[in-house]
Amino acid sequence: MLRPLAAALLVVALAACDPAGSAAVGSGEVPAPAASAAPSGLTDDAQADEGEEPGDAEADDAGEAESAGALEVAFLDVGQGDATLVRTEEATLLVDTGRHDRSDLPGLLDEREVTAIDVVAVTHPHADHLGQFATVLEGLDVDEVWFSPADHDTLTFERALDALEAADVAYAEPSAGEVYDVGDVVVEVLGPDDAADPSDLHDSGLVLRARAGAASVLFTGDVEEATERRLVDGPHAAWLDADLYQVGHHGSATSTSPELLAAVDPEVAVASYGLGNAYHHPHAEVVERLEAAGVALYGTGAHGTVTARHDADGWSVATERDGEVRPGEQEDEQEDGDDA
Amino acid sequence: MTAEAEEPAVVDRVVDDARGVALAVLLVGEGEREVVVPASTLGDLAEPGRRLRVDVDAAGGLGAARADVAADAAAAARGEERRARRDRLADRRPSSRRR
Repeated sequence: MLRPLAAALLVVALAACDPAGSAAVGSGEVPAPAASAAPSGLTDDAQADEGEEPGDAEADDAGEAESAGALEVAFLDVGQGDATLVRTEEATLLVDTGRHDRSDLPGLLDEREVTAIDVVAVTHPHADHLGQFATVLEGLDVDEVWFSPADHDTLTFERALDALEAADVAYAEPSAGEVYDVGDVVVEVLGPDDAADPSDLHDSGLVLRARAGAASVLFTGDVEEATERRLVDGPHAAWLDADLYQVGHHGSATSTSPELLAAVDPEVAVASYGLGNAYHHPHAEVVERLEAAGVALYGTGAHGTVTARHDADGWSVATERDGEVRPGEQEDEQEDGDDA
Repeated sequence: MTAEAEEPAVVDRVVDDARGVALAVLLVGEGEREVVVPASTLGDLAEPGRRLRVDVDAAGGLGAARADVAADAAAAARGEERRARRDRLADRRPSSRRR
């Protein structure tokens, strides 16, 4: 299902490791930690599929792991912003919609032959996450939209509302503890929680874990350390565990605290940022922290679009170009503004 | 700053750079061009959602900025309207995917 990209691909088969402490879903209930670790290999890790229904866990785990198709997560290179496509055989989700001052997202989706999207989830209404929402809604067959509860006083946000009202889409503002079924993808909502401040667009952002079969990916948007602390200490902390982690807040030092990283325990992390951005994302301490934890780190600024795929053979990662994630990415090669 | 040079702007977000310096990201004009400036140059105006009148020079730098009090007041009223619009959206076709 991994489609060839325009540029040469670097495919890296990732060494499997033990994603201990996997989580379960179901009716807002938090399961006990897994009793034992899988011997090796994500595809052999039935823990990642703990039961949807109490009592049926083992049977469901085995069936789901065997029957589930591939999960493909493409962290699209949209400069200093976020847009991530999650696809399985049965579901297509788009998490965030790129920057307001670019028009690259429709083309990137078209290259991947995306014509319909089950759910567009916008983690929060800043213009580097919501930017091309209206264009996506107008150009593609979107079934449902998820927003955070935050309001924002920008034209970008008002244009998004205009597009929502003009479209025939379902609408929800998910909150912590809720679970959604999107085809064969289960989406667990970790944030915003009851303590979130709706006037703080980062704090009240959507935090989502998507699971398909034995594979999982976590999106924390731009939430920062105080919010991460609530996630780690909160009733749904077990849902943080994920194989694949989109590095919070474009790799800013405000996020990906040691406590959150320990709870997520990812094998692969991808930071979405633009080369030579004004904020010097990703920040050095975050890069060092991820590398010290043995996480395979990729970045859209260094690698272009990064596509992680999980199938019966485990995870593999394809990148648009070769590269290396460096703190404050290559300031000597900064581009002139449109990624900043 | 001359009135002719002023443009409407809004503070989209405030973020820290690698050195911990707070940067304000302004969306300027109807096309919402992005201008990034040290938040300290805006003082108390560096607040997400704050409406401003700004003078951006040819190099993209911020020459001057002041609060747009009238726009702030109008924006507050529009905030309630936006909330109502979103409530109607959820009523119109709520999610059927939630368990």
